[in-house]
Amino acid sequence: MKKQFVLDNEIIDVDVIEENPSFVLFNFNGEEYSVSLGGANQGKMVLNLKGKNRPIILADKHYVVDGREFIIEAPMRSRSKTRGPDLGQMKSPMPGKILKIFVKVGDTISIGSPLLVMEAMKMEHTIKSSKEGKIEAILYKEGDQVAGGVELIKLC
Amino acid sequence: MTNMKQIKKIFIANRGEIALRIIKTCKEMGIKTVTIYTDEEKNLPHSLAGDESYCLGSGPLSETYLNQDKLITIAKKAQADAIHPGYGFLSEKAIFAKKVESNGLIFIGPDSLSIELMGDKKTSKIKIQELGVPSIPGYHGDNQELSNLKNEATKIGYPLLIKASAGGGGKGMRIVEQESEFQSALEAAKRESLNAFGDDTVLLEKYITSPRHIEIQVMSDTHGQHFHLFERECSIQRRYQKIVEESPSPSVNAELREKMTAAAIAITRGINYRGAGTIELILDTDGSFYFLEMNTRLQVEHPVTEMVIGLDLVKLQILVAQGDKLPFKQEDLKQNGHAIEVRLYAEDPDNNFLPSTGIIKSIGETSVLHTRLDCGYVDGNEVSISFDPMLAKLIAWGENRNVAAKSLALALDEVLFLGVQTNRDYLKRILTLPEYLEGKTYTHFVKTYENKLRPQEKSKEAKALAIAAFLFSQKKSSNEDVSINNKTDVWAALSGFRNI
Repeated sequence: MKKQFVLDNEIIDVDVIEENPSFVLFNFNGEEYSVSLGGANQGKMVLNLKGKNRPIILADKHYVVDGREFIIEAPMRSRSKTRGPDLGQMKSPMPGKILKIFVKVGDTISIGSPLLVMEAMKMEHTIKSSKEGKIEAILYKEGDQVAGGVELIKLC
Repeated sequence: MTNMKQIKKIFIANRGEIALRIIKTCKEMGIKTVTIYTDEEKNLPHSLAGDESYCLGSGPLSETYLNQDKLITIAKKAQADAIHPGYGFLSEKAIFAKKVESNGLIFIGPDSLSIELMGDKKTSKIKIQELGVPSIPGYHGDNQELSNLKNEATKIGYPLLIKASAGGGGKGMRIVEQESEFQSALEAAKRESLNAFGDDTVLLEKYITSPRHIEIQVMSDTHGQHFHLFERECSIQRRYQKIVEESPSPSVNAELREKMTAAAIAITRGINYRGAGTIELILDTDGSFYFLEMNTRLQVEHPVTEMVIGLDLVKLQILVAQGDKLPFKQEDLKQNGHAIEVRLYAEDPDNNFLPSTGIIKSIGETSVLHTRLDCGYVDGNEVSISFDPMLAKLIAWGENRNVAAKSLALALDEVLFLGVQTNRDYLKRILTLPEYLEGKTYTHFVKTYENKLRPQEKSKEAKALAIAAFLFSQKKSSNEDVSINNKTDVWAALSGFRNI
């Protein structure tokens, strides 16, 4: 059965050939993997691949293998996050205070143009544009405290 | 001033991992503790970790952790004998130390005069020179005329650094490689400095091309004993903050150690210092070193010293504060093995170290021998922007530097802080970089090896295992049913565990 997941923000295709509660056989990236589940505890899982025990640490959508973290989600959930209302909007990447705004309504900006400076955790960060366009509205002023992920600037 | 009073209850004027660290020592010594917290911190572990706790309400830091009168009032109400300031916050505010003592409480730290003297860049440099300890050659005078500055520059020698007197954060700063560039660099620095700080006064300093940051831990009691607890190297920094600290330093040999520790003792003896402190030095490649500043408090990175010399620095601080004579001699202290500490920060090292926030889903724990996790959070806590982005310190000890680095890298595979973007993987990249293991640790390490420190591709096999874990976790509920119903399957599946 062909399945699609989002792994570290990338859509991947996995062909699950055989699947039961303690064993999976699947094809990923042109290679076949046969993995059995040794045991599972709260937040931990031991898998067996090619006769070797492979401990995995997990919490929610986070999976850690050999110290490397992977984020895996079913595609529906993550799509609604990355698509949709994001178009034409510029959001704060983190909560903080707006120290300086470099642009004004009507300005044409390109990718990489500095838009504003935010202060978070006692450090200053210049927020640059990730899009091209003309500024329709600036929703905050210098000195304002803003939450993370809120719209700061609207493009036409 | 000598206090001769046994401390029975300590008010901790701090939060997070350092508050918890102080409590550990107090418990061992049979001392009661008082902790404080803000409205937003009720779920953080330090809040209720003391024998008594008081809420500071909410609002800016000036209303909470930096509100001196509020803290002293609570400490008195709780009938504490002493206040431990931790690091940061009020730990290096001379006026606070003075207030604490005038209110009849013991300040666990130096005399307010020492804090004042060492807290001021100018007075500390003058004092240090009097004591015969070198500071970086430079010109800090008021005569800002071009001809004079040029003259002074020639005396200092090139390369040199022009810095804004009022400055910070690299603004109004210029490196000048040779005399012919001096005038234009000076004009640019003055212009930038005037724009940024409204003041174009500059100072000149010798520029050290490949510096190392070495610091000497000191400890003095009130009976005239001034100890050094050897060195730490903290060269690896980002945004002028240390991220990897170790002891001993791979770049300090016995002869240099002798000179550096002697300079540190000359300072503590010369200012009649009391308690724990750190003398920060800049080490040049030719073995010459210069005084940078003195931190008159316990240092974030104190655990590496503790693991190498086998003493509890917080305990020594408390003993000194209650007027005890420290029960050892300098020659009793020995460096044993090697310890390295990394600071885990909520930030994205691959995106300009931008701070991150989130809910901690799982911190994890270290199962590696001789490791220590000093952490101010528990699972489920929110990491917000209200406080420092440091999540925890992870420390490993080994019989030598390579063993310590290996253990620490292994422990970083287990202390994960899932749910929050951290510098965990980045720290592991540092610890396993051949140049780190060879000891090429200069303060510009992060910049020099920027390319080598980029994230490595995740292996296909690790990806496949993560996918398999995802598939199994989706089946989890049905899996539990099978475990109960199908015994043969379970035993077969558990075969790998039998020999544990």
